[in-house]
Parts: sequence; C-alpha cells; structure tokens
Amino acid sequence: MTRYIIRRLIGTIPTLFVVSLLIYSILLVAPGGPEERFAQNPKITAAAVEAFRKRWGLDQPIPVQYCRWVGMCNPDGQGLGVFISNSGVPNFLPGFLGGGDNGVLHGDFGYSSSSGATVISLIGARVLPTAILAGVSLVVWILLALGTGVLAAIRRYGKADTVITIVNYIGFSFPTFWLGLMLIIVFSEGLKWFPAGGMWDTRSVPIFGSDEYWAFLGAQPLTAIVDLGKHLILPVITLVFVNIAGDSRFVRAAMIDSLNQDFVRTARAKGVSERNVIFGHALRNALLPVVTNIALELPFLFAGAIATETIFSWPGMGLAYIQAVNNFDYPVLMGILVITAVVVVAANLLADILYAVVDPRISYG
Amino acid sequence: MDRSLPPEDPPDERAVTEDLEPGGPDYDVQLESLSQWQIAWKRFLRHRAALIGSVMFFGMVLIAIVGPFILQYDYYKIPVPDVHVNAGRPPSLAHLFGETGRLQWDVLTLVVNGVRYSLLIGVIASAMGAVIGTIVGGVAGYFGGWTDTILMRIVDALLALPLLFVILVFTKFLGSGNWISVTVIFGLFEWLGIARLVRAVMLSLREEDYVDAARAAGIRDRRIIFRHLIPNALSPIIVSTTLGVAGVIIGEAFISFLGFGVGFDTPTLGNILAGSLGFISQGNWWWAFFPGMAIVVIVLGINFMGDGLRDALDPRAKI
Amino acid sequence: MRKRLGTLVAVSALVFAACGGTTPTVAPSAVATAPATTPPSAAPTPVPSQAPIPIDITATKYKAEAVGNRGGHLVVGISGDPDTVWNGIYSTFANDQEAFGMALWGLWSNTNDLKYYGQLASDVPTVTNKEVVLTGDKMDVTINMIPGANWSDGQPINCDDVIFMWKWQLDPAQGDAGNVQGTTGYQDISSIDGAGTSTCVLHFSKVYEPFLGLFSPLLPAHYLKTATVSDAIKKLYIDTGLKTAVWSGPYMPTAWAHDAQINYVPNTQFWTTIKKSAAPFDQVTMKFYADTDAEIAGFVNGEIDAGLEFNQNQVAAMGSVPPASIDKTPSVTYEQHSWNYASLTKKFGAAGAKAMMEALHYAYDKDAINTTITGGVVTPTCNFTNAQAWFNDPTVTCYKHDADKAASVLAAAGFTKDSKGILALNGTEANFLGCARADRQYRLDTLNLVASQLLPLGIKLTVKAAPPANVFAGWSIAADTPCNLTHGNFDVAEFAWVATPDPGSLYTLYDSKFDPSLGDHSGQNYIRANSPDLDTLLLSTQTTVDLPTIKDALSKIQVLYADPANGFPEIPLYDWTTVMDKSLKLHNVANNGSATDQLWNIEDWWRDQ
Repeated sequence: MTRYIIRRLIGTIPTLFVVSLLIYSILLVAPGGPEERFAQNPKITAAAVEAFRKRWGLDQPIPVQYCRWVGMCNPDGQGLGVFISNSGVPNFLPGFLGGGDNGVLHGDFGYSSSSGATVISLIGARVLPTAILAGVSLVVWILLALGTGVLAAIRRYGKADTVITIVNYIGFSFPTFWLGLMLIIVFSEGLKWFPAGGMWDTRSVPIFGSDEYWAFLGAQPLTAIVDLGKHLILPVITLVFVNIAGDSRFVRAAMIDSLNQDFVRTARAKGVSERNVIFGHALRNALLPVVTNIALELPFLFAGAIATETIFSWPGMGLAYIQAVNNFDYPVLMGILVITAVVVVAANLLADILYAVVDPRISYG
Repeated sequence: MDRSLPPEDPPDERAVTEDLEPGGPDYDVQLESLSQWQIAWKRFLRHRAALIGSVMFFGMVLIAIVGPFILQYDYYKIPVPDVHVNAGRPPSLAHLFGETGRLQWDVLTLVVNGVRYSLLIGVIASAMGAVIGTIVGGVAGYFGGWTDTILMRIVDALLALPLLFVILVFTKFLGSGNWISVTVIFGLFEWLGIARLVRAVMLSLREEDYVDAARAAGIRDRRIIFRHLIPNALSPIIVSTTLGVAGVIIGEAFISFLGFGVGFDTPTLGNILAGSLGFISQGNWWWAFFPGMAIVVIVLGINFMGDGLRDALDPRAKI
Repeated sequence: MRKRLGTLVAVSALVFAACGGTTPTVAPSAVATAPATTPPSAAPTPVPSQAPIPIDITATKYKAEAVGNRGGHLVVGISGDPDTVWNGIYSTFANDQEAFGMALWGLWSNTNDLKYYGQLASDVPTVTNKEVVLTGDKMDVTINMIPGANWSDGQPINCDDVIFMWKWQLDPAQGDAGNVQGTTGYQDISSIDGAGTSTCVLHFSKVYEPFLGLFSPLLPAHYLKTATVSDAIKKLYIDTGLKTAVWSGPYMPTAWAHDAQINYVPNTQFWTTIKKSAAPFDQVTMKFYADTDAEIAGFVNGEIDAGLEFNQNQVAAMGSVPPASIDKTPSVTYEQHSWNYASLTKKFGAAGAKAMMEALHYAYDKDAINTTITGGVVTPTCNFTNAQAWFNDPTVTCYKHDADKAASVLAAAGFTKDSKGILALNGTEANFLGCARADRQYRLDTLNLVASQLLPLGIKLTVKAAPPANVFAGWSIAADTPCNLTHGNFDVAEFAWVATPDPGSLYTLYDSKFDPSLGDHSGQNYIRANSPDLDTLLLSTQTTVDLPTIKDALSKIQVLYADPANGFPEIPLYDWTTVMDKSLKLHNVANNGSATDQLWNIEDWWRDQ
C-alpha cells in the first residue's frame, strides 16, 4: 500500500511539470506581457518599458525565464551554472538543503506586477475564504445529494423522484452568474434579508483573518458565525444549486443499483425493516462510488467557488484572479493557477488512494 | 465545461439483458454495428426524457435556422425608436418579447439571433473538441508507449487547471470579442474528456483479435484506426460531444458576463443577458428573462437528449 | 492626491484609460465603465505661460458646513480593489485615488468646481500674489507650506520633502520601477531653495504652467530614504506594512484586505497640526464590491453610507435607490464622435468634406441620444470645454439639431442621392464606417442610433465593433487594423475625452502637426484636424504668458470648434455624469465631476447621529 502511494505520488511529478509548462505558456500567447498595462500611457517611454522588462527578467530567453520562475535555475548563475544554487548544489533542492530560494519550487511566486506585493502574500490571504466557501458548499452539497438521491431512488418514478429530477435538471441548466445575480436582486436589494456581497459585516465585524477577527471570534463566537453564515447563504445556494444535479442523480443511480442487489433482497426477505434495508444496507453499499466520485469533483467545486466569488464579492482567489487578468498581472495569475492545479492533483491522488483502500479488487502492487 | 450528468436511469436489467447483449468479436463487424444503431435508435425513441429533450433542442435549432427569415424584424436593420425610452418597453403585440433598453431592439429578434450564435459557438466548439479529442485519444491509445504517456500527461495537466479560467485568459488576450475566435478558444479546450474516452476504448480494443488479424494482414495503422477502432468509440464521443454543447453555451455566457466574451455586435445569449443586467431594477425583466429562458431550454434539452443517447448507445452502462 | 490635479492640469486623455487594462471591470461594459479615470495616456504637456491674472483660479464656491456631529464609522463602497498605495506614482487607477487620496495629500488640489486650493501648501502661487515670478523665459515659484504641519509619525512636513521628492522623481531607476508620473515638469526645475524651512522656491529653467500638478502627492523624504528607488514599490507603502508607513492626509489606512475592505483611522497629526480640529469620524472603511450591481445592492441594503465611482451608465440600475440619494454632477469627461477628416477629404475633396461635416453637426439629434441611451441623465454638449473651466467662454452658443439644414447644406455642396438613395458627390457615396470598442454596448447603440438619424438624409453609417486593443493601439500595430485610430482606419469613432482646464493639451489633439500619421506618431489628433487658423490659435496659447490672451484665443477656438459652418471634425455628444449614491445623513458631500476623486473633501464629511 505504502509503495502504491509513493508510486502515485511520484507519478504526479510529471503531471505537475506539464502543468507548470502549460501555465507558463500562457505568458507566451498573451500579447505584450506585463508591460502591456503601460501600452496606452504615452508618458512611459520605450526605454522605460525596456527597463521594466529587464527588471522583471522579461528580457531573458523564454526557457531561462521559465526555468527561473519554476526555481530550477539560479537567477545569479551564468552559463550551465544557472542550475547550481549559490551554495553549490542543484538549485531545485529545498532551501535547507542548500538549494536556491527563488521560483515556485521554493514557494516564491514573485511579485505582483501591478502592486509590487509578493504573490504569495496576495494569494495567501485568499486561500481561507475560498476554502470556507468551497468547504461549506461541499458539505451542503453532499448532504443534499445524498438526501435527494436516496429519496428519488426509493420513490423511483414517484412524484418526489419526478420533482427532484426536474429541479436537478433545471439547476444544472442555469448559468451560475445569472442565478447569483437574481438572488442578489431579490434577497438583498429587494427583501434585504442577506448582504449583497462580501464575507463579513463591515460595521460590526473585524477584517476576516486579522488578529482582531480571531479575538472577536473568541469573544463572541455566535455573532461571528451567524454573520459569516448570513454572508455564506446566497453564494452557497448558487454554488450548490447549479452543481448538485450530477451527484444527486449519481446517488440515485447507485442506490437503485444497490437496492437491486441480492443481499438487499435477502435482507428484505428476512423481514428486515424497510428503513433498515435502505439506510443500513443499501445506502452503505452505495456510498463508496459516491464518495470517490465526490473526491473527483473537488476541483470542479473549486472552479465553481471561484466563479461564484466574482458575483458575491467574496474575497477569495477567484476575485484575485479576475483582477490579475484585468491588470495583466501575470505573476499573480500564474500563481493562482499553480495553486489550484496542485490542489486538484492532490484531490485526484486522494480519490485514487481512497478507492484503492476501500476497493479490494484494485491491485496496488 | 465538461459537466455531465449520470444516466437518467440505470438500465433496467430485465429489459436490457435479454435482447440487447452487445456483439462480441465473433460477429461480423458491419452487421453488428448496424443492428446496434437500430437498437439504439429504438431505445432512444422509448426514452421519454430524451424525446422531450430532442424536441427542445431541435426546436431551438429550427428557430435558429429559420427564425431570422420569418421574423418581423431583421437583426441587421437598426431599430428606429419611435418613442425614446431608456428602459425599453414591455412585451406587446408588435414586440412579443418586449424591447430592450437604450436602442429598443426587439428582444425576440435578439433572442433568435442569440440562439443562433450560441448554438453555432456550442456546436462548432464541441465538434472541434470531438475531432481533436478523437485524434489525440486515438493516437495515444493506439500507439501507446511514449506517445501515450506524453499526450495523457498533457491531458492530466489540463484537467488539473480550472479550464474556464484558462479560457478566460485566452479570450481576454486573444478573443478580441470576435465570436469565431471565442469559439476556437473553447474548441481548443473541449477535447480532454473525449481524448480520455477514445483512448480507453482504443486500449480495450487493441487487444481484440480482429485488430491483430488486420495488422497481420498488412493493413496500415491509420486504416486500422479509422476502419475499425473509431466506429467502436463513436457512442461515447457522440454523448460527450452533445453534452459539451451545453457546457460551451453556459461557459460562453459566463465569460460574456465577465466582459471577456463575444462583443456586443454579435448577439449571443450570454452577452444579451450581460447587457440586460443593469436594466432589471428599472422593471425591465423581459430583456433578461427571455434569453435566460432560451439558455435553460437549450441546455436542458441537450442534457435530456445526451442522457437518452447515453442510455441508448451504451446498454452496458450501469452508472 | 493625484486626483483632480492629475486629471485637470496634466492633460486630456482617452477615457479608455478607465477600461484599457487598469480597471477591474468585472461586470460587462454595459453596466460597468469606471468613470473618467486619471488618464494614463497623459500626453506630454506643452508649455503655455502663467500670466498676470485678473482671472481668479482660486475663487471656489465650495464652502464646508461646520461639523454638527462627531464620531461614528463611515463606510464607503466602490467597485474593484485598488492596485497600490502608490497612486499617481506607479499607478493611475481611479480606485487607487479614491482609496489613498485621503491618506497622502499633495501641495495643491482642485475643488469640485475646478478651482485650485492649497492642501499641504497654505495658498496657491499665482502671478497676482507674486508667488510666481517670471524672469525672461525662466520662472520661480514660491511654495508656502503649512507651518508646523507634521507627517503621521510626527516628523515635520517641509521643503526637505519637496527637494527629496524632486530628486527622487528624476532618479533614472524610476523607469525600471514603472513610474507613471514621468519626469515631465520635474526635469524643468533647476534648483530648489529653502531646505529645512516651510518656504521653498522652485527655480524653473523654463516656463512650466501646469506646475500645480507637481508633487501630487507629496511623499515624506525620511520614509522614502528607507528604501532604494527601485525597491520602493516593493518595500514602502505595501499592503501589509500600512501601519508603519507615513501619511499626511486626514484618514490613514491601517489594514487592507484585498477585494474586501480598507480600514482607516484619523491621522492625529493631520488633525492637530494641519486641520486643527477633531476628526468627524472615529473610523473609515472602504468596502469593495466585485461589480457596480453588487455595490448598488449593497447601498440599498444599508451596507455602505456612500457608493462611489458610478457614471451615467449605472443610473439605469439604480431603480431601488431613493432618487434623492443619487447624486449626479456633470463630469469633465465628454463622449464624442471623432470624424476622420482625412478620410472625408479623400472621399469628397476639401469643400465636400467641410460641407459633410457641417451637415453632420446639424444632423445629430443629441437630445434623442440623451434620452435613449442614457435615460436623460447626461448633459448634451457642443463644446470641448467644461462650463467651470476658467477659460470657458459661456457666450459661445450651441447649434440646434436641424435635419433640414443638414440636407440643404449637402444639397448646396452638390451631394445628390444616387439610385440606392445614398448621397453621393462625384460618384463617391456617403458611406461611412463607425467604430467603437466591442465591449461597450452603449457606444455601439449610440452609433446605431446616429446611423438611424443619418439614414433619412441619405448618409449610410455602418457600425463596426472592434477589440479595444485594436482601436486604441499605437502606430506599431498593423497599418490595416480596422478601426485603429492612430492609422486612421475609421470614418467616425466613438470614445470619450477627459476635458481639461489647461488649454495646452488641446495642442496635441487638434494641431495638424499632431496628426498621428506624422512625426513620431505620438500625436492624438486622430481626427486629422487640419486648419491653419486653428493651428495659429493653438500656437498662440503656447507662446503667450497672458491669461486673458489665452482666454481670448480659447474663445476663438471654441467658436471654430462649435460653429458647424467651420466643419470641425469632432462632434461632442454629451458630458458624462459623475454619480454617487449617498446616504442623506451625510453632510458636506460635494460630488466632484471634475475628476475621479469623489472623496476629495472627506476631511469635511460628517454624519447625523
């Protein structure tokens, strides 16, 4: 088992390598590069743009730029020495082994070309909000998918099944942003039940993630959580409604499948209560494919959360991404893509391992 | 993008197992596939949701094709507002879906033309994806080895990225608001699922005897792929491509909403919606409602139809 | 602080600045165009002269009402996170100015009625008060800093800061760092006297009229010295180091949660040494929304006291905002149609082109454009000046929409309708290409509306949407790029200019030398205006030092521009409207249409209990 996990871990390296190449190639297709934001400013001379390019290393050949960005190459090195860190060992090694300190491999994503702040500090503050939105949505999503899926399965072809099926399909057909905006107009601007955007109440709650916030959370946990909940409701509804259909139908299919199995028939024949049959036997059996499927959908959840953020002014990675695109801020843009890709690859790995652990038919020798 | 629903219904065993056992290698290839298509067609016709879906989808296709010719107003003829109303005017006999704000375009005309472009974008991009995916998956699955490893790593890597966001960068920097380039960009990212599917089919079929026989008989690789392997992979490709159309239409709508999509000179359901948003709070619901409904009808129809197709084309599919 | 001065004194500029890459437009164009930002595309400012003035450029009508209530937490909303604190230095994004204009002041600034006032300087240097002295072609400017004024860390604000910033701005390393203010103006200063005192004398080696735009904001020398010039953007005023940074304005930022909010507290040094009163608010927060729709919903929902940075394009979405809360004021930004005079001349010859332009002026129905496109919230205009600019001549009258007159002008010039019903002169049809960026629906709609107004006359206008990058790209883009302004691949194009009270900027817009096909292609005379009379007048504004003379020349230029008989190829449509949603409990809010900074007088704001 351990060997299987290690093998799978090593297997992700080439994938991540290709991911980094692809992300970097975005810089190649994008016209202009980071200096594009000066393009319409006649006060910026060509010489100044050249100086700017040099400062950001954009005057180097593309492979060298890529190599530095990833952290394989030492920006101070010359010739073949670029691969060697200042302490004389290969540059890609971690800092404590004497490797370099630059590049993605060393957690250095560079500086935002529009604000000058480090990319890691910009993204760092965004991870938790996105994780909260995605996490809460995931929980709601799983619970609802299980509930509606099971209900639809045991009332197969009944009214509940029909209603759930129709709602699922309609949800699946809704453009996310459209639903989100309608919710804002109705529940925020119209009924004033929920805030129009943001993650916390500006007047009564400190900035999320700040020391003051944690102190506030400790002092008035209920207020803080209710506030967060109020801000979460609309984005979570949006995210869940348009995405739940897949899993709800999946659970339904798995349950129907499971209810048709011999052991369930046997249990019924033995006189086990219907309730027990459904929740004790059939559901447990149906859960395995469902759980692994959800693990595989994590990346999609993240992407969805990111899209939802742009509607509900949720201060997560999605908003940061949109802003980076608008500002031609390539370092930030690439940093966010790298981080989401790593999360996705990790989620896939987890799903594989989970599956291998629970399914004896998969050999992992 | 590559969202897909699981089958409408797990196949009902009693119906499936008896008469629909798929053909094995001992059948004549052509005969077998013929009967398979006929069976699939029958089964599709029996699939109620699939039929409803087809009616919805092809109804919209029909509207997109003939609509512009029978409409009272020509999209390319600029409206000359008789009364200048910034918020537009509600549905009336002259304008069944009402008029937009500002220039007072006929919403029905806009929607019909929007359906046309949205479907074009969706169908072309998905078809592009199907072609690229089939080629990549076929090549990877057939040749195996390094070719396979490299191609599949690229697929894995692309699947690890939030594709809508990559597309967003491309449309922002290269799309230039032109519907053709936006379509091509979507098409360039639509092939991943199909490549995987085709590769999987290739891998399983490579081992079949008749391929070895064909190869032994000196038939060239390319011919083997196209004569024997592709037809076998066709069912999942059709299903995936159909569902892909819906994904692209919704994706384009999102990109347009963010202002990176197709320019306002070419009506798509996405940018009509995007243009309407500011006017809702003035009471102009019709400008936003009808294109929104058109998206729902198209996507719903495609999903129903796609599910029906999957059930019909792949009797073995359990989940 | 770059705010008004930046916009006003520097130059006029394309408003696409607002959208061309610096504005995080999350929503589509129809609902989210940032209002006139400070122009990144500030053209090099030519050098008119300061004159002995009977014209008082400081006579503002703005007067703050006494603070009636102190305390409380002011929350203002805006769409889009700022880029950087370095507003005006490394960035020219409107939201940066709103967010940090209140924290870092300049020496001078503009009121909401386009007049000048001192911020960290106690008065505005003019020739009249003898603080501007002209000696031949040289100029000395005396700056009286507010005596006893301190930075937020208690260090004095004095000439040392002016001197240091002058040298800092001229440091060659600024180019690498992407300094957008440039060296214009600073490079004309030969020396500065007054080190260590609060009276500095700038010695200019030549007359530099827009000097009031320099040192905006003024930065603290002792803080700048803690980092090298090239490291400044990475080490100073960074988002995580706001508490240790040094400020001069009334409220200073303490924490910045990106895309969420910035918190400010009163700068006690400002309130004790500059304003000499207590701060009206204990706390200020700027809350960021992803788009203007959410910002409007947030205002309706009571999340913010004021929603900033709206323009006429968002008013339609304010259906649930109480009308009294929608504060609208005319902007100095004006929407206009640039007609390509070179293209017209090529089609119809000089006389035909002039007649066509004259007819076009009459043919436009600007009132219909206002009601249809903007819902009647803008001010139709026929001139490039803002009514409040000191040089504006209010006696220049506007022509009226008159389709019959247009038809007769064209008929008199020999235009006749051909078999297709299109006007033609010597076989060339009046068949025009109208361009606008593809992501601005209201511009495409406006062009289409104009097309419908022109068609009955027999003028055919085909509207084309083009990628913004293609429209505004410089000379280096392919010469046949459709709709490109620089190469003149259009008959008419719609975009907006930011008007300016500084007549010098007109030089690069309308002087025939600045036809972008000529010279170094950096001119902005996209319309290819080519009138010797105009050139002479424009030149006279560059060479005289006498403000009345400049005003006289401008008056003639206004006539040249606005009288259809002169066939000037630019047709202004309307002045934009700067909009703010404000709580009726707020006092002293003075919506500023002159530029982007609606918080320009935030030190006077207060709120009822």
